[in-house]
Amino acid sequence: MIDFKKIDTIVNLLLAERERPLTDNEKSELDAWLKEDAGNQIVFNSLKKEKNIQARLKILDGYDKEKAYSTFVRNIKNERNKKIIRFFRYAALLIPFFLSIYFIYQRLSDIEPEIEMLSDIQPGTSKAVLQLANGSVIDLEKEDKQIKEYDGTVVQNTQNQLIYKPVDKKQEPKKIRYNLIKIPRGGEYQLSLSDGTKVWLNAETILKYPVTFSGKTREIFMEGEAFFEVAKNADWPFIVHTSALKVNVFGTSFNIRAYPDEEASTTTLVSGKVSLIQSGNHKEYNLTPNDQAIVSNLETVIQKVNVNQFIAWKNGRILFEENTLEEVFNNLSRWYDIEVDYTDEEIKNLRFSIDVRRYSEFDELLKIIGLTKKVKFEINGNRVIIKKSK
Amino acid sequence: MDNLNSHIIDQINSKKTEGYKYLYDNFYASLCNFSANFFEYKEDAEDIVQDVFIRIWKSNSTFESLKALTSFLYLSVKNGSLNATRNRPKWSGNDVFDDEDFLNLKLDEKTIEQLLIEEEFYRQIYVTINKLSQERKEVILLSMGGYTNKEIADKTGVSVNTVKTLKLKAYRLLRDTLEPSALAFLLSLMN
Repeated sequence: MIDFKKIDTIVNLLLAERERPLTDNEKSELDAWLKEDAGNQIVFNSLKKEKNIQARLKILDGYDKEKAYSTFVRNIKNERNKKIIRFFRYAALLIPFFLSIYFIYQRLSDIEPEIEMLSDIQPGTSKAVLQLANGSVIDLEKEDKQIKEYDGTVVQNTQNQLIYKPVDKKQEPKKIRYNLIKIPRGGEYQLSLSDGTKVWLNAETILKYPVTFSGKTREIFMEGEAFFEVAKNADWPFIVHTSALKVNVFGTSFNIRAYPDEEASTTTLVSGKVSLIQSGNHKEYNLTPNDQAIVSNLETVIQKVNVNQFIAWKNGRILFEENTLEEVFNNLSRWYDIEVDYTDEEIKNLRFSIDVRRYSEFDELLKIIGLTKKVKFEINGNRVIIKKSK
Repeated sequence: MDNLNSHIIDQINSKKTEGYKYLYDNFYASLCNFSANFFEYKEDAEDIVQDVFIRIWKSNSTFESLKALTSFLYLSVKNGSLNATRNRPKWSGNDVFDDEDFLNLKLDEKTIEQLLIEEEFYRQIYVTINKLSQERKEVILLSMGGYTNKEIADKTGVSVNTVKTLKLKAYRLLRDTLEPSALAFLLSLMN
């Protein structure tokens, strides 16, 4: 049998022993335990090391208790519903009338989502501005099909994609000239670079890249969120720079999210191989497919993820799996160009799963979230106020 | 402390979700980590713990104190884990099972008692530290990692004075909420 009273006593002694000298009684109690088994001394020594505590706390933080709790709540709600249904089955034998009232009530409360709205908030569209090497700025939404760079390069614009033609190696320019594409809030655009690399650009993103790649490396600079399909060329390294990191790419597809107003930047590898170098301390990390690196000032965490969620935006979907309301709306606000306010801090941590088309009306999304009856919305222009549901 | 504990026990006994939220916040990770000693994948351990919590919610039994509940949780998780590793078709919660030989084989020389002492020791610290705000938590964790105030300031990007204030505030909050022994431990870390 396990003696929990003893375990409790020993744990309390071990915790106390750190700070003050133990009393004689306590000491002999602890000594007796230490002598009981050679292994006890080993356990004792390892508990004394603070580094071990720090390491263990990290392991414990690795268990997602919030997610487990919401699974639990879902589970017990199902049980409760089963009980209610059972009750009404018996009741129905006696009073069918009450049963119908119950179902009518259920129906009514289902089709009456708690949203005070109709908004005219629209999803994002393909839009971007392009800054040429000489500094002139072009609105790609309105511009013609062809744009001429002054060095003669012709850029194709198809209203949602910008294409740079590959250049004959012999004609390669000596000096690298950069273009800069800027996607506003509520926008997205695609780009095909001169080496054939494809880039999907999400809302509020800036990318700086050479009109024609030349020299020993292919280097580009970004801020915001982009998905890359890099054209394979083992002899011609492709490097993405953000303010927090540098990603060396070896022919591959991956997503980088590096918004300056977010604490951490996230690199998610779908296929191939990349190595990632943190700007602050030059630490290097190698990623393999399904790895995600989250880099912040404090630390870098590498974890395995389901990549679909992180590249859903480029496949035309809005996808969240058990994300907090705050995470959901931080994302939506860039795409729908809205400002979000919460009346209540704690609702920020409510979790939601959503899977809809990215081009859905904003109201449609609010209806889906509203159906959970956890929160209510109030819309004022492009300002969304989220309240707790009673 | 005792009042708070009996309040929680009431909530758990009367099947209120708040009580179960407390269990998830304060026990879930440690129980999973304890159960993980028996499995290759941590997902298996998480299933066992989830199952134990749901069984408690479904059952009609009540608990006298948080201590009694703590013992029950560790015991149920141990039994659940063992039965699962033996490929039993179904675990029945009341079958208490104690095969020390088998345990010692599985657990790399550590006895179940030693594992429980470790787990409970770390759990108390974990619970205490999780009561702190994210900022204070980071400072305390770094200070545990052996960093000086100056180094912590550099790492977190705040001033040395702020680090000192954060430690002090963390200490004040802990003093109000902690069990005496766990508090003593944390105090020793902060100096």
